[in-house]
Amino acid sequence: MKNIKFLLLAITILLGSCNNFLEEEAYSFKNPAELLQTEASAEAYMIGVYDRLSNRPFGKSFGQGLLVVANFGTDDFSGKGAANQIYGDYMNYTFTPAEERLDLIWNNFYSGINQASAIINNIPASPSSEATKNKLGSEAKFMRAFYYFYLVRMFGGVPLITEETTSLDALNTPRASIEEVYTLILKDLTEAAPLLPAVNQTPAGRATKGAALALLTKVYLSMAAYGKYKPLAGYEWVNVNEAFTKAVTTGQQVIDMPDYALLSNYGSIFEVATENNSEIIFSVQMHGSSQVSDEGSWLANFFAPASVGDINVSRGGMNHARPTRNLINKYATGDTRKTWNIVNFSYNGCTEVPGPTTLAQTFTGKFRKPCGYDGQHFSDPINVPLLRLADVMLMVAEASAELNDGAATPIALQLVTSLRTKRYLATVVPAAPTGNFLDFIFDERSRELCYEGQRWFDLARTGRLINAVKATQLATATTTAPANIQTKHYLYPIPLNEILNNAAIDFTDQNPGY
Amino acid sequence: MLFCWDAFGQTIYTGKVLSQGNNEALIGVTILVKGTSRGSITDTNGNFTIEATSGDVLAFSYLGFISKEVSLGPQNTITVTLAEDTKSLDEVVVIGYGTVNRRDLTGSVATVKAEQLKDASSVSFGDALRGKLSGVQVTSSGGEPGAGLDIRVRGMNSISASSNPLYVVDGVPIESNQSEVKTGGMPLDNPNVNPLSYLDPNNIASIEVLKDASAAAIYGSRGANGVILITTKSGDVGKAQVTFSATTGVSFFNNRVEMLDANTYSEYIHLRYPENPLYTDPTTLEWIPMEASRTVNWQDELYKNTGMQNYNLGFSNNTDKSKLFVSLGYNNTGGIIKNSNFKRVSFLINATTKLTDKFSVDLRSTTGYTSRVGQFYGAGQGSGAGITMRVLTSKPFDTGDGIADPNDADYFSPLRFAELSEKLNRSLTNLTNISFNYQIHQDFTLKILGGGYITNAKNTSFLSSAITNVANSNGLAALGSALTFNWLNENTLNYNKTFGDHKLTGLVGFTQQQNTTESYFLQATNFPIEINGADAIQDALNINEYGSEKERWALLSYLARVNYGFKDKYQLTLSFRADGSSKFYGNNKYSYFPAGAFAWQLGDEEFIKNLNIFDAVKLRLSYGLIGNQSIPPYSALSTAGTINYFSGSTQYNGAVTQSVANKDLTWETSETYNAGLDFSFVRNRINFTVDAYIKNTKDLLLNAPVAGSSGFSTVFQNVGSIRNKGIELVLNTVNIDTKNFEWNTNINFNLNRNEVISIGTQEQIFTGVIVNTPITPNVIQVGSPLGSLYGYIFDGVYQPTDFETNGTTLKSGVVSFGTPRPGYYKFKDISGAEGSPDGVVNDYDRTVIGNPNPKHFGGMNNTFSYKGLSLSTFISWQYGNDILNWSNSVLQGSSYNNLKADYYRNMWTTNNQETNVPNYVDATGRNSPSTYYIQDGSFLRLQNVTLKYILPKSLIKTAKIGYVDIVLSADNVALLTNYDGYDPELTSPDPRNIGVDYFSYPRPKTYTMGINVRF
Repeated sequence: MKNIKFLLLAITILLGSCNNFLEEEAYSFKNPAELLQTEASAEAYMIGVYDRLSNRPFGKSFGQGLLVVANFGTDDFSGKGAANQIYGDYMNYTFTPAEERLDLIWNNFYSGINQASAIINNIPASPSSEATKNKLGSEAKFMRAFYYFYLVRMFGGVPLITEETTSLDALNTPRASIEEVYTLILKDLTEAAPLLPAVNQTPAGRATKGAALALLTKVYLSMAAYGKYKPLAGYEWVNVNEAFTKAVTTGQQVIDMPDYALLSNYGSIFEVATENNSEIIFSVQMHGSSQVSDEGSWLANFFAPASVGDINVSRGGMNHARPTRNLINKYATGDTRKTWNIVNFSYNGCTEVPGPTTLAQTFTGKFRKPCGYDGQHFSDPINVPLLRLADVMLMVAEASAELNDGAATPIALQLVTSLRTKRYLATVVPAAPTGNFLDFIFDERSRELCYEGQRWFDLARTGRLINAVKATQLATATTTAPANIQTKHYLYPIPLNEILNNAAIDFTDQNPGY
Repeated sequence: MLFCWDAFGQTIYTGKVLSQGNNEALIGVTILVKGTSRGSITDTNGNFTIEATSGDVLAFSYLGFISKEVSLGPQNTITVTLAEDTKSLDEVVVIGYGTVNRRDLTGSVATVKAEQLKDASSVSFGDALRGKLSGVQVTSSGGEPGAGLDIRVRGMNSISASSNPLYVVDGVPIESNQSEVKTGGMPLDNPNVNPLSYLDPNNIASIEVLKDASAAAIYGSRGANGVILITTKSGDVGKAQVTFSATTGVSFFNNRVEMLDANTYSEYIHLRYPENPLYTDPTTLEWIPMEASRTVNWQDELYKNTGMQNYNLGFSNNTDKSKLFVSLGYNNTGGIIKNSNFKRVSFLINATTKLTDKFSVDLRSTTGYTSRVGQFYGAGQGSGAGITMRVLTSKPFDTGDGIADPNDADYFSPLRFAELSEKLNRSLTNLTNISFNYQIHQDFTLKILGGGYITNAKNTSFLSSAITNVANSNGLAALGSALTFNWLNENTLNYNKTFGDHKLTGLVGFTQQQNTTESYFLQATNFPIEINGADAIQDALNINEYGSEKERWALLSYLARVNYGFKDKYQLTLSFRADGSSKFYGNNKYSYFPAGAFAWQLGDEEFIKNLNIFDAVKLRLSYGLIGNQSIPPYSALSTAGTINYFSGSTQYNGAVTQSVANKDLTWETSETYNAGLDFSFVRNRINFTVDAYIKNTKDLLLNAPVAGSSGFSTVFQNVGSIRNKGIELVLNTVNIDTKNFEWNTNINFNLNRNEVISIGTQEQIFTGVIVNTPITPNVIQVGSPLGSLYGYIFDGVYQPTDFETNGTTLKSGVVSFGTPRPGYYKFKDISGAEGSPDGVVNDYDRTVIGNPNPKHFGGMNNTFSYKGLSLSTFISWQYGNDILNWSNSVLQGSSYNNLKADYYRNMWTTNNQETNVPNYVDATGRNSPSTYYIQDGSFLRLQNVTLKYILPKSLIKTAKIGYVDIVLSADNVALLTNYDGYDPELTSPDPRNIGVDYFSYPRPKTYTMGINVRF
């Protein structure tokens, strides 16, 4: 029994702890710093940056939130529902800095920016091949520019962060100037464009050279228009003519690329069966099925005809968005876009049912679920187009006319005519542009791009927002926007949570009027 | 045996041990020959035999009696009488890493003994604690058998780290969330499982609650919410004994909420939805009434009487060298809702043996298998409403099969729902430890303990394709499992020495504990054949959510404690613990928790003695730091997770950064002050204890919001502080004490005030979540109690006189909310964007509308005994807490849901304008938390009445039975409250919603009959 002492001592020593006892080890998650160590995980890390475009909860992405913010509240369409619908505040211009979608979008885009910066800054030192470094680094630059471009147009000068946040010391960044944000966007896009693959990659929906140039065209046009029409302070630095000129030359490069061509059937651009077609330059990839219910969007919920019967198997949706008289009246006879975008029927499954006759029901019809689809509603499988060829053509026409004091130029006329010819029935020759050419281009953009999240930005950059919204004529929907809209609405408010939680931003830094 | 002893020269002594006073034989008295390892034990007649030599000293010890030493003379036969130890202050109290006599206790410790636990019909020990301990508030999220409990020791201390106390079962600290199965989302989440439900309350010897720093600081980083020490029974009474107890009973629930009958319901729907052709003739627009005789009260259909049974069989043997206790238990408790029940099979082995007089080995092992069968309750999860909601909201007639009304596609008969959905939780837990005690030196004892627990839990749920809301997924099954392995090693050295007036005990130790949890889950849909549900997941065509997770944390600790007693009058305790946790970085891994306490036996001082009032008076003072580290592992790390990304219909996996590292993250620390006084009067017939405390918790662990531009929305940080302060009173009295009749009363009274002192840079944090809504009814804000209820102030209803003649435009000066109309909810305009009332009710007008924390609470137990018959009654109360009766928001006009009858009678209509009850049309007002839903949750409950009859010895002696009693018990007998929900003690199943009642599972009344036999 004497040995018990030694036995116990031995046990105590054996049980003595090892050095790593109090260290944490990652079992079921990753250390972000290690993700760039292999090409496959770097690729996954890049896909994570794209995923911010579509991820849940939908309020923060193009799944739903961005279909609401900066899309509702124009003269193209309005919501059918009451003010308490999720889009009510945007339809009616009653949102406050506390409205949650602003916060969700802001946080989501900044988390994409943070991850893009991690890739941009760290991939050069990673073990990947040069080709992968260039490709992923450029994709990350494209996405960072994309996120900042939405932020600067929605919120103005936002905190400009180009380093990954790795500690609590870097949590608070003040607002930068609009010029500084644009400078980064231009730098990222011009660096990325030449290094990106020319054509659609696998998986579809990733940055390409065409996407970078098309986005660059939009950036130039946007800064030039803000600089010229001055709806907001902060664009005084823009060399307007140079920016319009660059919009023309950059856009022309996209138009000249062999990868893009107009489709002969307007509706096919948006159909799931023909998604990622030659008119699409960049779109958010959405997916839905009876099994996968959280990878889709609310596009059909808003912008499809009504559905009769089981909505999950219907080609239609909840018909929340209703076209305005302004939009309906913009179309002429023979324009196939009218019959696609504005409809008077509902869907029962795949069958068209004439709309209820008791009310003058006019629905939007642009984004319809595929025939035979059976999936959870609110997770519609329709991609959200963000950049497409027709948009670039109209941007080049607009910039070209802007350089010609607003009058049509040969190139502008040629682009507009070729687009319109494609969009009209073969038996109908579209009328030549009449009246103010820039106004005509704007109407053409509505006809072509309505419900695609372009109209609000178009109206804002040219200073037309307030007049256009005040002139909204509703068909059947309701809105109080004409009474509510004010100058302050050229920008959305900085989200309340950002002001509360960012020590470098206080209430005096809020956008004017909020 | 590795050794034996020399028996030569020994004489055999025989004797008998009797109780002083009544001269009854004492069974199981331990007898030791001093200075040797030789011993014996008395048999059922109190007789013993032992080998010894003349001049040896025999030491007699027996629980509850004063130990005695007797020198052996020449006679071979001796009779010894032991005096009963009447001083309650001398009971042994279990404290962290040791025991102490209550007289020597310096800290604040509340105790419940087995006798107080066993006669109640509770499924788990927590239920049995309700109202019995001072400073301990027990609330449950529902009356479902085996449901989770929230135990709060001296108020809530923490925002996001847990406020649950640390449980220590037979020396093994248990994480209170151990049986939580990670499932990655709906609909398996089942956070309400009681982690200790595997434990049979019959096997608990005592429960001690360590409340102040002096008592709890020895548990350092985990003691801040108090520590509950549970000690299971050992075979220390009697020799070779068999105990058997059987209890059987019935539970029922007779409370009913009066809902509309079929006739009135059809009238209501006719008025509300005139387009529905089932209730309104499309051509004449006349009401199509439904006969009242078709009414089905779903409460009658689903709340059923149910039975319970509990058996416990115990074997114990106690020899001079070894103690053994083995127990088997079985419990089957039905739920009052169809298809719900709880079952437990458990067994326990506690064994101690002395290998030599200096070396002993102790084994304690408990195993329990629990099965909880039920459904989705409350607001449900994943499938819309759960049973407790449907039972009230469903239309009051039977439509035969599921869907009969195309305009109300969500409708589903609650009875069918109960048949077509299920939720199971099964769990196997084993907790074992083995300790070696070795007396190195006469003053030093070394104890090495190795042990831990293993839990394997499995959750499954299934929703049949027939259930409307998931029809599109054609059957939905979820299953998840978690395996937890938690091991512990403790090495402690105890010192014990008395010299003269000085008594010194000390403890130093080193402990390490590691917890690893591995879990997986999957969710499957689309079952062409759904006969087997979640038991045959291969029948599903699609597995659409799945994942696995492994996590680990570890603690490495050093501890020390010194107790110094002088002249048995002054006691000083100093303790210290250094804890290293894997959850924090570098220098923050270690934190230090010192505490000190002082006790003074004032009663022994002449100036008190001279008063001739008190039998004993003790003053206790303590101060110390205790910590809390109950945050998930990896909270301080930078992490990235996996996301699904689809292009076309092809899935790609991407990685996203989810959190930023916080290298400064550290422990939550509570600074605790306690002052207590213990008095005994009237020959110890009145014992009175008062404790006052202040607990300042700082560096609150909070997943605090940060600037979104950083790329993150929240980061775990140490922000803010909370203060709890309170008073606890305990009064135990022996009111009548005659030969045959005794009347005892125990009362505890508790008062706690909680205040948020700061929450960093934040002004408010909204914590409450109501399932399936964006509503956040609870707020944490500086100056208010934690979890305050938040909303508008109800100001009656809009009347036609508030409007211009067009009936829609408000007159100037009338506050507007939403789109007001006559009969709509009207709220007070208290502020606006400019900080002053602006005529519009919006977010600026929300404010604290209720405090879910009671002003005081407590319990009173009275026991009357006459000979073998005893009657005890237990009353508990709570006063001054507010409840947000959110169930009413659904029962007052949510779409096709049925209405409360009294609401329908009283609500505003054009014909009934003299009322403050809004019309159902105003959904915005109805769905806004406001004082309209705030109700007083005060109650007085006759919680238990127990009648026990101990059969007289004369009757059972012939049958060779040692003891028999028969117990009749009634639980939850009567409730006095103004609260209009089912039960003010039940709040939402979601612990984030403190004080929110949203269709809780009601608590039944239970009548039981039991028998306890000892052979």
